[in-house]
Amino acid sequence: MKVSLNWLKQLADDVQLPVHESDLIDRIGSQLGQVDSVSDLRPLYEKAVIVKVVQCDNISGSDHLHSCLIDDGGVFKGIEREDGRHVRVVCGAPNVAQGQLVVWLPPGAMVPSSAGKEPFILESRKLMGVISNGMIASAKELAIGDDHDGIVVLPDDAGLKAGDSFMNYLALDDLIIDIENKMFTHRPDLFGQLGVVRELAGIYGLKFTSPKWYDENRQIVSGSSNIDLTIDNQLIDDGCPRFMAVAIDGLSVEPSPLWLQSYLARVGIRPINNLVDVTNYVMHVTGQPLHAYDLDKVKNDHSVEFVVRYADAGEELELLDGSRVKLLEKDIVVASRTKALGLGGIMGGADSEISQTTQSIVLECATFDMYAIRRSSMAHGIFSEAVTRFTKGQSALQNRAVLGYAIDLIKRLNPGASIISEVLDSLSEQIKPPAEVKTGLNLIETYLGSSRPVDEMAKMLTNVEFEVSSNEQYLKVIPPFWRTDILEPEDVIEEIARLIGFTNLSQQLPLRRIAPPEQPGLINLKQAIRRLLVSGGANELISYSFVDAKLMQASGQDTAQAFKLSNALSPQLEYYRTALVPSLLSRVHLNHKAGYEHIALFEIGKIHRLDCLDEDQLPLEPERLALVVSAVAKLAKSVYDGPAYYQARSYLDFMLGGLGIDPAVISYLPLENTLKNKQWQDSSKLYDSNRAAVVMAGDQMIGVIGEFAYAPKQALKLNEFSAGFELDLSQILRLRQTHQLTYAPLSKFPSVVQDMTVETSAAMTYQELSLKLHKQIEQLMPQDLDLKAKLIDIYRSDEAPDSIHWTFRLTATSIERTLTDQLVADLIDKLKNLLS
Amino acid sequence: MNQELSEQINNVKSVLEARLSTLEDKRSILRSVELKALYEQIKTLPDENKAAYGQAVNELRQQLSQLVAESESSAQALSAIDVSAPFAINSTKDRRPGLLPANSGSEHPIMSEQAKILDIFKGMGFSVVESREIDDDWHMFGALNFPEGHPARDHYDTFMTTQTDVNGKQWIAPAHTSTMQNRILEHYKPDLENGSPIAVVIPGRVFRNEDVDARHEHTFYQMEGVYVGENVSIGNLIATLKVFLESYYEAEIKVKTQPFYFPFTEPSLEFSMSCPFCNQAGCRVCSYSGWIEMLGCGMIHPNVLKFAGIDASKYQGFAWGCGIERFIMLKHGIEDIRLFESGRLDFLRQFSLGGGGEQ
Repeated sequence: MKVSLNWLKQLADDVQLPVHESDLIDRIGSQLGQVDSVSDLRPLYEKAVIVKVVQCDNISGSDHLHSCLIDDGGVFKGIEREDGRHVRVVCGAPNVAQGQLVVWLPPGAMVPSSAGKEPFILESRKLMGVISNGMIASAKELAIGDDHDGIVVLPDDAGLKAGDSFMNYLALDDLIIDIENKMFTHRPDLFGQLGVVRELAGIYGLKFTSPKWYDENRQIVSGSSNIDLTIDNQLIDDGCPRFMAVAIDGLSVEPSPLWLQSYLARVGIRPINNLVDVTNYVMHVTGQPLHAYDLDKVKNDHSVEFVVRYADAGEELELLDGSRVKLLEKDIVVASRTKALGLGGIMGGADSEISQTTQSIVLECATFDMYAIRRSSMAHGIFSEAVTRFTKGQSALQNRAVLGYAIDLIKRLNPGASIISEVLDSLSEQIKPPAEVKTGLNLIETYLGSSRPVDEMAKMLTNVEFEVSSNEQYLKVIPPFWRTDILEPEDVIEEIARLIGFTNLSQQLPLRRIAPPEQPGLINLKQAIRRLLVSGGANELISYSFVDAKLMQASGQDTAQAFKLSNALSPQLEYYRTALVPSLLSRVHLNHKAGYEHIALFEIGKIHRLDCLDEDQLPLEPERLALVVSAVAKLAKSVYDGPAYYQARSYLDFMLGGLGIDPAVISYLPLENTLKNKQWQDSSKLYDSNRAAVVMAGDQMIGVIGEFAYAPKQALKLNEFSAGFELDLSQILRLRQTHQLTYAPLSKFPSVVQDMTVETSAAMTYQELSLKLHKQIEQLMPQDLDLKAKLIDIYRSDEAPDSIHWTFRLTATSIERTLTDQLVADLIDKLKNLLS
Repeated sequence: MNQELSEQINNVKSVLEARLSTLEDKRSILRSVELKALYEQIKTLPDENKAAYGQAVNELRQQLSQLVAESESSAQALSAIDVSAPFAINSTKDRRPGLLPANSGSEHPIMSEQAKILDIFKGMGFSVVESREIDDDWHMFGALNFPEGHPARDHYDTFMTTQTDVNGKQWIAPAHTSTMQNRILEHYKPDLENGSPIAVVIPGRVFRNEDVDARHEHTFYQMEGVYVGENVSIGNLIATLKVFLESYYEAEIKVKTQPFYFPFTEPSLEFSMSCPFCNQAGCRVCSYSGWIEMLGCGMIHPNVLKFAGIDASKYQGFAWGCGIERFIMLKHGIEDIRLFESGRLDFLRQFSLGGGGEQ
């Protein structure tokens, strides 16, 4: 929302706004809304001088250049003058002529239209052999209008003389303050200069009174009733609660006067003609959009009938901007009996547009439902100035004042204009004046943190034209008719607090009981895992929750089970991921390429699946931990024995150990078991079943670990030495709570350490052997004796490939006696026999 | 597409599927004459059939490649190992792949910063609840006082899913952690009524459907805070955020606010702090303005309390939301927000225990 400081001042002639501009801008920022930018127009116009063309001759040899002598009243210093008085300027405009008052940009001045681009600074130079000092400017060059066909010629009857300041003439000694629109989502009144200046007065503690014309009950006097204006407002109860219109005759379409053009131009609106410009000007003052129809194009004999209705299926309409839209069922149209004339509240139609020959118009001032406008605007992708304002919910109560003001201006620009119809006013009974809001003084005191004198608060609100009364308990306000946002006591409090200034309120911390907050189990677990894996040299990364179909297919994930975005930014971000490992895998190759030969990446995150919903049918969000290790071939071969699987296992064992989870609870099952669990079933395609396992804790599946199958390896350019795991963190959390390793008291007696090698068939797995071993230990060992077994070597010779030799390091400890080597050796012998 | 064409495709499909098992080079099926003939035929078809037919042939090719990939996978399966063993058979102890050196490990900077921020709020008595990554329309908008179709929804460019919830509404990738407010208010309501104010911070990942550049990501991290009790003032809100920032930056700061608009707070504010990096002398971090915008906040709108069944005449509250990346970018002078989710070790290892470790 662009605000012109001079426009504001003009609308508030009885309020003296402070002259200190930087304070003003600060106060707008802290009490109204964020200032996006401030542009000072003075540097653009302070050098522009009003001059008289005293002589104008064609330059021979040129088909359009004129050599002019101008009279600047002698105000410009330091320039060569002819006959000691006049300045020579070459002008290419077709309309330049002797005797005109024009705008001169002298040497050293910047062409205003070049501001913000590459600044064009004028100088004295020769054109076709004639010296030219600066330029005589067009409206476009002056950035006050769109006209580029000729220079600006100032009126003779405006009391101007050569040497006057052009800046002062059009009040261009102005600041344009651009305030962030978002702030005003609930403040339709602040989309007009009038609303902003009222608010500024309030911020400075000044009493504001709206201009006389801004009267909801103003009379609009009709001259004659040549035109019978009627309406069939079919949407009076929802889409169009108010529709006012009036027919005006005696118009001639011309460019608007410069003052009007320049106000529009400085807030970013292109001047068009003296009718359209009035509607835009009034909208920028009041926030209320208006629309003008060419009467001749909408009338039928002496009558005009408007129909406000929803569009019919298949109906089409050509809009003012030349685009053709297929209307949708819930679009509001303003129509004649036979066809749609415009997309109500969004944009008028081309058929009834004002043209150069327009002599009479119907001026519409209507209110449309903000929801309907938003819906149609989004559906058609049209975001006009009218849409910006209607979607904030303009008050329907200001239409009469706005229409009257627009008519005043039209008459001012067209002295022959007259009203030739009754004033049409279709007003819904649902439109009521703002209701009184009662706000408890206690509540105000609570919000403000201290009590304030009621009179002081009342004055703040009456300054911005609220009606205020109070008693011992309540502050009662009736908002003015243009305010649609004051509905609850909290809205009144916002008003007061903002006018005081939020940071001027007393700042105290809330008091609380000293009870500690509850411990977030899962968050603590995640933090513990993070610290552990980082200490194991792994790098945590974070990747998007959204992945592409390609990655999912490459890693065997079923897109049919994934939530799919209907408005993804790109195909790379189309599906909610159903597993984390693929995201990590997609980051492996690029890091190897960047020179990291051996990496361990992990991520903690959520997965989503269509078939994982809670009892309220809300998607479950299982938390997962994924880790991937990978090394380039050369490094892996030279440093390691055995496959990558065991490096992933090192991380898993290290992490579970670090979390204090008893390793005895963990077991490994073949990969096919993932098929029994829908959350994990896609894993069977990601991993190679010969080198992968389901990680179990008792009968609960907690994850999958393994090397990757051929297809994903190819697709994701993975190294041979790569493996990973993915775990369900809720299971880890449960294990951490239920299977925590406990402390074993230290013995006073020394332990005996001996190695034991067991030979089994090659079909034996470590898991089976270990189970057996522990069972036997339990049965064999005397009560007082604790025997710990740690696998230290697995060996199979080429000569005897059918058997495996397992070497365990056994540590025997008694809490009651000193063990002899012999005793332990005997026990080990027994164990060995039982195991082999 | 007519019956004849689809039958033709189906015939080729069964022929090729049968042949696949007999082939040595499985991939050659994708170059088979039958498949080529199907593609050749496209140009001979009338225009109205082309698209559907072409799509069906592409689908067939897709299915065949899938089969090829699967059979290759099983053909190329690695030799079996004992997955229950902790290390490989015949491996020598010092050549077993263990952990990487600790000095190359790194925690993601978002996570470490989030932990630091959470610690401060935990110390101030706030509980922690994490946010969701998929939510329904009610929690994302309705319960936060955004009426259906309200233009204020336009400020949140949300991603939505093609799938719908039980009410037939599309699921939403939450655009703010405020999506958790209603649940949290409902959950802690009994405590509130027993005299314990609700004090919760909500970290989480949020999503915005906007073009990505050095300053904008479609995925980022936010932290929401909610406080509800009796006699809660606007000054309480400002003071709470101020002491948090002072604790975080270990410096005294000044506060500036601007009015803002959120449907779920009234009043709504934008909160700026004096630049702690230059003490308002002017520096690059604050763009020489002396101020840094930090977060949005406000007093919880009574409707939001009412939607959670909380008596809005008795209790008031405040809430705020801030982006985590912003804290880190300011602190480290990180120039491009896209680095956070790039997965690049060049970036991540700068936050390692050992200052990067070895490659």
